[in-house]
Amino acid sequence: MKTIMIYREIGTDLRTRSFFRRDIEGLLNHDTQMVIDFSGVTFVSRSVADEICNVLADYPNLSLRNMAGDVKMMYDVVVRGRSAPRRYDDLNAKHVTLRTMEDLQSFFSKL
Amino acid sequence: MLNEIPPIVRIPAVSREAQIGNVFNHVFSVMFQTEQTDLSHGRKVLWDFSDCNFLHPFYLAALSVLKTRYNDSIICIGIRPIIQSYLDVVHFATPLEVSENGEDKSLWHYYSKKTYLPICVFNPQNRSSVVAQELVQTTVRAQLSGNQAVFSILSLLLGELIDNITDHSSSKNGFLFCQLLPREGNLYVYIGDTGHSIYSSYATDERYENLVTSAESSALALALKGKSTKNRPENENRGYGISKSRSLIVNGLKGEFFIISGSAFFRHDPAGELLVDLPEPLRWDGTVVLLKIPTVIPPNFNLYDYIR
Repeated sequence: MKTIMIYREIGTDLRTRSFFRRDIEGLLNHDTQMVIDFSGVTFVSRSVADEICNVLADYPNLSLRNMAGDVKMMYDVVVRGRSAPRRYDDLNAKHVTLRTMEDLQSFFSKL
Repeated sequence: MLNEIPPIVRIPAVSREAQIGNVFNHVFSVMFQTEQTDLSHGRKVLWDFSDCNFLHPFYLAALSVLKTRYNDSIICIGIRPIIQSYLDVVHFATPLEVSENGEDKSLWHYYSKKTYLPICVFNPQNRSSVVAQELVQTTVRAQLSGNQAVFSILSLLLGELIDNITDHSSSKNGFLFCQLLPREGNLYVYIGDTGHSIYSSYATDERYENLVTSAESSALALALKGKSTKNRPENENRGYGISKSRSLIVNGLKGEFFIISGSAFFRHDPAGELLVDLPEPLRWDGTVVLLKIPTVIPPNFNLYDYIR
């Protein structure tokens, strides 16, 4: 069993999906049981929480440990969101096509 | 040819009380007038600030990014001393380059005492994008001490929107600026890039070929609904960045959310949503997201209602 201490390997604030993926990929393999330990991690963004789910899907030999506080809450919310049917937001925007700079100036001056 | 008298573009004043539409009106006007001159071969354009005694945060940041885009072609004149000192500290002329290591802590300490961050440029493909987020939060944490809610909201928004730049824009530069106007009770945030527009991302994705028209607003509408160009085959788990950010700001906080991408403009505030195709030849290089975030949080607001 290999344990990866996130605070030591990557940091305590995990903000960016692509960097998290890049960093964690360099520490993982498919051959041994591995644990990602979140002790000391104080912030995980929504996109990183989502990427953690993707990493778990790609590495069935991986498990998580010691998520706490806001980190755990963010992760749990994202896990629940992924298992629910995707609902797309409504867009009720008024659509305007401006043809000239005069149109634009007239339009934005009233905004 | 180099001895020609450069054309002058007057930078219109925008008062503190002006409607937000005037800010965009003037940004587009300055852009249009500047681009009437062929800026190649060393030609210059003078931006005349004589009329300005205040620069709205969105106006300031947009002009700075435009100036960067036009390289050395812009010469600023007529700047009043009080405005000049402000432009200097916010790095208007040359945005502050954020390094990957964020090593200059004394600089961050200086700005932690201010209500603004310098206009920062970062590389979306390296850790300078993370350092830039930390900088914004240093400023906001100092200015809004005790307001943990705004701090958490900002962490979420910056993470989502800067991830979009990293993943989608192919931009070499990301720009970040924030200004707190305490008397107004709003935090203004500018997040932008100079890469592919949103339209470019969707127009090249065959899943959306029947939905994307020649109008760039058609692609922006997809992004606003949460349609992603990056979903995993087994799980539609992407596309929340723009859609949830605007919902959080407008529905949750009663703030305002704006995007300019290519020739498309979007505004969402409590009064409604507005999607605009700009006239040719106006075209913003890349994408910019502008946030007006109230610093007083509605009592029933729950951040996790806006996360999926």
